[in-house]
Amino acid sequence: MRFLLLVAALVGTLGCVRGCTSSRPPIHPIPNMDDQPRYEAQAASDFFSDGMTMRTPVAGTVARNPLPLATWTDSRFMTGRDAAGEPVLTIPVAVDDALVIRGQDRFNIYCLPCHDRRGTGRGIMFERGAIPTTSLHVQRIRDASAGELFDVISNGVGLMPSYKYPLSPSDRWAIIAYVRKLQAEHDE
Amino acid sequence: MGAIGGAVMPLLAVGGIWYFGSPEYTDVGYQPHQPIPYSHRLHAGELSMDCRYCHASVEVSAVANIPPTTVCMNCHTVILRDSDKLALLRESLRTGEPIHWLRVHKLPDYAYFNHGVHVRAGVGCASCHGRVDEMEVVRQVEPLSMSWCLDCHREPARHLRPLNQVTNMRWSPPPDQLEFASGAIGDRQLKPPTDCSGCHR
Ligand code: HEC
Ligand code: HEC
Ligand code: HEC
Ligand code: HEC
Ligand code: HEC
Ligand code: HEC
Repeated sequence: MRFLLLVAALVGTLGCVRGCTSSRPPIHPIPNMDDQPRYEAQAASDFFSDGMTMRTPVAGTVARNPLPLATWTDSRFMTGRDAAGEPVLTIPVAVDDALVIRGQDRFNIYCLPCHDRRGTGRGIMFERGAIPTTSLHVQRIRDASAGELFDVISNGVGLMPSYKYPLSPSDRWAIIAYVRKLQAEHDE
Repeated sequence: MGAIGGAVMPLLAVGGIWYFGSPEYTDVGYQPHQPIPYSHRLHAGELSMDCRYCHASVEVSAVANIPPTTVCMNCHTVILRDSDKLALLRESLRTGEPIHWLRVHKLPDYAYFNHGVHVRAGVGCASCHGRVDEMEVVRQVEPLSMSWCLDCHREPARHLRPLNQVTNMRWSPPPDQLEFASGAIGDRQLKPPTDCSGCHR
């Protein structure tokens, strides 16, 4: 009897059965070395004055390491502009199936929310906020050079945000290759 | 009476530790109150946004990454720009002070985990985080215990997907899953570690 009371008391104090939802942080009866004095990614820091463990790179830093060495100094590839600063007319990498498939994959992550799966512009911003979102099928965008589209993805335009950070230059070119495919397939 | 007590007491103690000491009890179900009532059910479910739109580094890095304020502001500069629920977000954008999201899933520091390796191997988010697209607030559904990791490392076949389905929350294994998986294990050269140094490095 006393033991049953003990169990009841235990369940009572510990709250609930396995797997029930609780907003109290997990308690580990034996803490082991679960929490070692080290910083975790994105954790708060009481050392740095801005309170963040992760440091901001120096202004103007360009992440280059995943890209082939030859592209580092290729301004057509990195910025979409030629030596004279004019937007390049065509995609400065070989367009093959692999590039277009990569582009489709990235488009469906980063562009689909607003521009819709087919690029019509009837996405979240338009449906939920009545924000005019440019269709990628209008003549102006069909006529735009690859370099101009690269500039839109890299720096944004109007209410369209910049996608420089999640998308490396090679992914941006892949998306443009896929946008060209969408434009050729759909006529609206 | 004393003899029965002597027999039952250790059993209860063992049973109690087994039941209450396991991460199944201590960790599963943790659902903290987040500073902003952000909903995965709305964003990842109803609006069908891909996980990687926000958790952008999950394919390439050990950590999945919680999105910075600017990612939310891609939309919320215009959508619901006056909502009270988003006041903290606007404040954060103005001051540069990050949102203090509370961590839900956390392994002990002596265990090594890497998202990129698992995502590139074709293990879906849902295998480890459950149906996040149906959660108003994220909640831990798997114990993240060593035996749980090993169960899959010994027999990953049920969890392997085509690489473009990793973030698809509605995916379920097709009838020929086992055939597909044995092919995938060969093609992708998967070797989930079961030796101690794989995860305790
Ligand atoms: C958060 C919503 C959103 C996302 C995500 C988004 N866009 Fe846009 N995009 C817009 C809006 C809004 C406009 C209209 C901008 C304006 O004219 O004010 C636009 C305009 C454009 C234009 C026309 C620019 C011009 O010259 O008028 C192109 C091209 C474009 N987007 C491409 C893309 C691509 C490629 C992606 C994926 C990397 C993308 N967008 C992702 C919202 C978005
Ligand atoms: C619109 C941005 C956004 C999208 C899309 C998104 N998430 Fe999140 N996610 C967040 C934010 C912000 C947090 C931190 C707050 C929280 O825990 O709810 C988070 C937290 C999480 C966590 C808990 C992290 C921890 O602290 O342990 C998991 C797991 C997660 N997301 C998985 C997913 C999955 C799986 C998807 C795709 C189905 C997804 N997320 C889509 C923004 C997003
Ligand atoms: C792709 C666009 C998009 C992004 C990115 C996005 N949201 Fe949203 N969010 C929406 C839409 C659309 C709604 C719902 C509007 C409606 O109710 O019609 C919404 C609603 C919300 C609400 C409910 C507000 C209310 O007053 O009901 C919160 C809170 C919220 N979002 C937080 C966030 C946070 C935090 C992030 C960043 C991790 C984020 N959102 C990123 C589009 C977005
Ligand atoms: C093999 C299991 C597994 C898979 C698959 C997985 N996760 Fe995780 N996730 C974990 C574990 C374990 C942790 C806790 C990591 C830690 O404490 O170091 C975690 C933590 C997280 C976190 C919070 C900490 C961080 O790393 O930023 C987010 C966000 C997250 N996962 C999102 C995702 C998304 C999105 C996907 C799918 C693309 C995914 N996870 C796939 C096991 C997994
Ligand atoms: C649902 C299946 C699944 C679960 C659950 C899972 N893993 Fe894995 N894990 C894999 C697969 C498949 C691989 C093989 C990847 C490869 O060889 O490319 C792997 C590989 C690894 C590796 C090797 C990484 C490297 O750099 O080679 C580590 C470390 C690891 N897992 C840790 C963990 C830990 C810790 C947990 C538990 C918190 C866990 N895994 C849970 C499927 C899983
Ligand atoms: C697949 C990854 C993986 C492998 C392989 C692995 N471990 Fe672990 N181990 C973990 C994780 C994750 C935890 C933390 C579990 C928890 O939070 O309860 C852990 C916890 C432990 C603990 C602490 C348990 C406790 O709660 O006190 C010990 C001791 C341990 N492991 C020893 C080993 C030994 C010995 C081996 C080799 C035979 C091994 N591990 C192989 C992932 C792994």
